[in-house]
Amino acid sequence: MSLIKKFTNRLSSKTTIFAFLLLFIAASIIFQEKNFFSFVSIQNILRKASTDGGLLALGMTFVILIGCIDLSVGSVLALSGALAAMVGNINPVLGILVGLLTGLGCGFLNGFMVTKMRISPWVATLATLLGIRGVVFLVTSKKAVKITNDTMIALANTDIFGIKSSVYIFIALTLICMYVAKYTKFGMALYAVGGNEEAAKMMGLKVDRIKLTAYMMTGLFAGIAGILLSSRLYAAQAVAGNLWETDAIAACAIGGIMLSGGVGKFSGTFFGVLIIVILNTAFNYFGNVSSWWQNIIMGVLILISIGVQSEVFQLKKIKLKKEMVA
Amino acid sequence: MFSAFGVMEKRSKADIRESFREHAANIFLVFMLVINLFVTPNFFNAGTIWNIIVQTCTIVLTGMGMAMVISTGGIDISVGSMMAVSSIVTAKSLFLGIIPAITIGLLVCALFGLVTGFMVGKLKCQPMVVTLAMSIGLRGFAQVLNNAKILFLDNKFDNFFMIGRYKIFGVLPIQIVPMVIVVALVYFIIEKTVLGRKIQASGDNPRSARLSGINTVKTIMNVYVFSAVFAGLAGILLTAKIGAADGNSMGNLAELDAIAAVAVGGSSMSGGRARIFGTVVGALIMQLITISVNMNNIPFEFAQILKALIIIFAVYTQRERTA
Repeated sequence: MSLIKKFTNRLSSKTTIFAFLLLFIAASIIFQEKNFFSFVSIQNILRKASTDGGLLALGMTFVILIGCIDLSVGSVLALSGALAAMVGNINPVLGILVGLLTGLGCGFLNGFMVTKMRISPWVATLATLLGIRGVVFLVTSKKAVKITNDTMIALANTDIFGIKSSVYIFIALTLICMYVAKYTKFGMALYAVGGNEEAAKMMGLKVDRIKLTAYMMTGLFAGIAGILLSSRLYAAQAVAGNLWETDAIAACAIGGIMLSGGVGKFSGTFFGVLIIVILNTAFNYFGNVSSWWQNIIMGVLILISIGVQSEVFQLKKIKLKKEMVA
Repeated sequence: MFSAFGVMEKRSKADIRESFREHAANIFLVFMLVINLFVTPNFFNAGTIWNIIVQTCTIVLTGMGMAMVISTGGIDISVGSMMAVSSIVTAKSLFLGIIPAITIGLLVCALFGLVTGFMVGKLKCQPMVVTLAMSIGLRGFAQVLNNAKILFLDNKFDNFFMIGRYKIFGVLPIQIVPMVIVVALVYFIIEKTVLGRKIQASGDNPRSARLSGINTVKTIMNVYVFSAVFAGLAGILLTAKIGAADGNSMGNLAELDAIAAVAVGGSSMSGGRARIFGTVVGALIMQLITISVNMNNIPFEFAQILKALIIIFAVYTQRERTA
């Protein structure tokens, strides 16, 4: 019992996990005839989560933890996917490298504008959202870049024990992020900067450098996401990732990452992504008619999830605890 | 003597820099106009100018609400979807008559604005997430209302179209009337009323505002209702101009234009200082970029990169100097 408790404590964001389980069980019961609770569909959900924006949400968590935002992730995903596909057709290793470097570079650009030029994160990343998408259109001349190289295709489509490789990458990266956040200097600095920037500065943390690194991590994750997505689709689309930043922010919000910074765990983001993907899948099962309701339910769900996390309820909890002690 | 002179020189330099920062948006607007005069063919004729007014209307209206919201330290991403909701709701209820339909449209928006304001002000949720959720949800609401189809308005609603197409004295587009009224109203509220002071105080330091007896909850709720109603008005005007209500795409990315207009206009993004005329100038700059790009046949992809660079440049030159 205590072991389980310890385990859930470590994962934290219990409400998110609870919501995820509830949704999963509900979906399994509702779609019994369609075999929702089967290996194939679970694998599909994980696969969707890994390539369709899951990594963007993981990366977004870094900048949200320091109290900033990155709206440009969708465009960065498209750019690194396109460049990786182009170079990767000649040399796959070089292609992957170019994709990752593109992500890092875009992240550096965002971070530089936010930290050194002191432009508000909203405006800076809004500008890169527009600008980088423009670069993508220029590079691809608005056409899809087909991937012909086998290694590039194998990247996200290899079966290992019946599960696609992209799923392993997603889970591994989540675990790495959890480790980084909990046990490294950089991870703790993230929480310190997000919690109280002034205090962090006074403690002698190099706030600007930490912020810059966080933005570069976000860019890097967007780069990985771009490579995986184009690999899974056998092509890099110019419009890939359009408006996905909304989903990424939503996944973080559902996962209990406070958007004012400093609070939240990567495991929360992981389950936030899964919740969104399950909802999407469930709506696909319902058929086309009700798909418009998806947005409404998504909106209401986010509102409920942040309402529950809000200060008012937290205060009540604290009060209850105090009363119990007394 | 010498050192005193040096100090004076330094101070005047800082003053110049400061006053440049104050007026950077205006200078930039004039600069854009001058460049366009030389570069763009047919730029300086009445048609183009009326066009700019008609097209800036949306950005100005949503920007006014956004300026108020940002000055409380919040942000409102739901304005685009709010436009779609008001557009569809008004179009659907047009059979009741024009005035009731517009009232219903604006009331629905005000109601949603109230919900946003309640969650931000009372429940202390982050404005960004709340309005993000609202924007997703309201987009769905607008789609469900008309099964995600475009609602083309009948010609029998001729009078309604006039709201978006009428020309005063045969030349001046009608859009200028709501624009002037709303800008004047917001300027009056922000600069001359107690509410305006409360808004900026809540943005500057919410804690001290609360401690000095300002009802920040009520203030914040007010602001989000204003933002929603202005966005709704923009949606209705646009619907009347096009003659159709589209729940899917109306107001897509309008929030980004509004935020950019506020930022380019020199308001502080962290709240506490709203610059109303600056926002109008910012909106004009955003629209001028679009128009000059279109009229010079610059390809879309270059236009986006250009827009990004101009936004960054404009915001960089007038950013707050922090130690």
